[in-house]
Amino acid sequence: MSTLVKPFCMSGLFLLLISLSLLPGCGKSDSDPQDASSKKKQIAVIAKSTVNAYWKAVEQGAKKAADEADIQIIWTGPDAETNHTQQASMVDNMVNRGVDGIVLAPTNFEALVRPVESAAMREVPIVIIDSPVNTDKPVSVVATDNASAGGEAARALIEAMGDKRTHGGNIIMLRFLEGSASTEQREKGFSDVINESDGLTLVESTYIKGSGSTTDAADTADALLRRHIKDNELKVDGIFASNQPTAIGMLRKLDQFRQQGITINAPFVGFDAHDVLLKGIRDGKIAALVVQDPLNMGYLGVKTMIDQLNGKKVEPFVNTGATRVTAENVDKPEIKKITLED
Amino acid sequence: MNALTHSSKFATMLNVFGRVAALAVIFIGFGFIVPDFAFFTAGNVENILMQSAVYAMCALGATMVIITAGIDLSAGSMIALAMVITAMILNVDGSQGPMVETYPTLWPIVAIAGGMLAGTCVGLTNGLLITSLRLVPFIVTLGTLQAIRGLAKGVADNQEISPPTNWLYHQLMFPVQGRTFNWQIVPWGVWATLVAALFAAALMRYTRLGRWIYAVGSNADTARLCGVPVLRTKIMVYAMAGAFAGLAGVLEFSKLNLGQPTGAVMYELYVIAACVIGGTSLMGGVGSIFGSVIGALIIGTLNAGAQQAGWPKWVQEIVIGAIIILAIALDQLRHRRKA
Repeated sequence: MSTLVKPFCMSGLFLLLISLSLLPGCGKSDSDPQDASSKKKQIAVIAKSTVNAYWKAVEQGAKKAADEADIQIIWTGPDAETNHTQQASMVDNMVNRGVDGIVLAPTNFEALVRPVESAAMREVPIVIIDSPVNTDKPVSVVATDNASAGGEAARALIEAMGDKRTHGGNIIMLRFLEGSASTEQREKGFSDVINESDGLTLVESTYIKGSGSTTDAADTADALLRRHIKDNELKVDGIFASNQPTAIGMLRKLDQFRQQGITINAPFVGFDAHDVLLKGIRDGKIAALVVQDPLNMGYLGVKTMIDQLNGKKVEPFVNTGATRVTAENVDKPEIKKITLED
Repeated sequence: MNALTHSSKFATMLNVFGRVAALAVIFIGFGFIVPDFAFFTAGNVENILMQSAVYAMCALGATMVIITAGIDLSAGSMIALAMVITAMILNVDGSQGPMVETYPTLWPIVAIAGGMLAGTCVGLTNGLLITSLRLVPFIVTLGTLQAIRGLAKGVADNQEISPPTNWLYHQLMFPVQGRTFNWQIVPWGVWATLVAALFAAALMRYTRLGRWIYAVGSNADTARLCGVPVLRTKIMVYAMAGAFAGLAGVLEFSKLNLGQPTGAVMYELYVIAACVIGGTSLMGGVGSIFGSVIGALIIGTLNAGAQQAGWPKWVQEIVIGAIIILAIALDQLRHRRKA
């Protein structure tokens, strides 16, 4: 009897797989081997994660560039921004699929070195977006110039402080995870500008611990602020948080301490756009945000790869820019495009 | 008696053959979906074997646990702990700089032993808690799933640990297939998994402990009456599951040279799926090491194939879930018809 059933099992599986090949988006352009010359180029775009507004904007930008050049992109990314192993397998799998190029936003500076170098060994070009990776194999890095964006944040904070130096010009900074390359550069850009300014001191800067969630950030922000609260007053002149989770965590804690009757006069500058943070700007709780341009990052990332594939010269670093958002400009249409409120 | 053993051996062979055939069908199926037959290259076969190796290594111990009618939900956390311990040992400083630079060949072996020992200790704890508290394995390992994850984060001080690179990183899970075919065929970590599987299969087939494991899972009371040390067997089995999870942790670490306390999340579910697809019964008493290895390869092929097919990620997840259910349902159907 079993000899009869086994072929049945197998043909079942086989039929399922065959029918899957008819799914939209995978069969059409690939299933025509005779027509190799007119076959669309394929670029894999591997994000740090696929389920938040920032990466959705990167996806939108990438699709726009792909449509303009009439190429196919395969958009994917790990379940969480800390899932390095999964992202590494995705790079390996795309290399083995035989894509023409990979646009990658590495989740970790060290962990993605091996997959990127393997891809280079198999002659699949890689363009890095968003954060760097510790190898010189990628053909180009397309990202926010984080050092100058951090400097921009420092200048925004200095402007918001004006001449007020009630607490000796002391400034505190909430840093993101140790080893996250993009935020480290940003934090360095920030502290460089502060250290060059007269009468300002960066009295404390703390990395958050844990997986990098907003909750982790809020816990670290709590401890950081408590160390500077004396006599029911926050004794600093300025506060900076270097990305979205740290900025939201800091904003929540500032709110909580204010509700507990603690006087907080120091202006707060954050980084990245998020509904909560933009509301903070409109409510006057955040003096300024420095916002990256994810749409442009996705667009320029894919465009740089297309240039590479067409044999054009590509720059080793492409800056996608950063914009200062304040209460004055937050509702302007050109800013709303960048903050994704459009 | 002789005839019976003969026919049951034949049935086992047929079972394993059926699974190899299912693996082949899935592999060939994806071969036609992925463009330009890129799925059928040496590089991709190596890629699939590497991606399956961690699940396979861990499934060796999990198979033994499930054959005793137990379950081990703490596998993913044990892998994470072993990754962290391995990385920390590689990071140790001696009097003349980092130990791994002073003893480049020997020190990584110490790290492997450390990772394996960490897993074994957790496994032993699982076994002792299950037998001494008389709690069901599901509850105990659900507890250690949480506790060991916490321990891994604690000993790593909530950081990802990236030690100096050494032969673990360059040899164990580093692809060897480039543009030309390499006769090493696969990295040493995959060979090590194969050797470990042969060891585990021999243990199950030719040793007294192996027979005890099947006996405990078939019927613990009968086994006890026949003089099988049931509690000792269970403790041994969980300790071995820990040891294999520890080795899986060393492989996972070697992939990226990174000890990640938040890594390997939910791996226990892939591992259990690999065992069940491989024909191990969750009711105990039935199962084979080679079946589970094939199961792990099926999981690895599904993951790689679905990604390379270029479907949106949500489609991939639905398809993989559906194929797992279908594969097991068809297998059950086959058993029922046979009976």
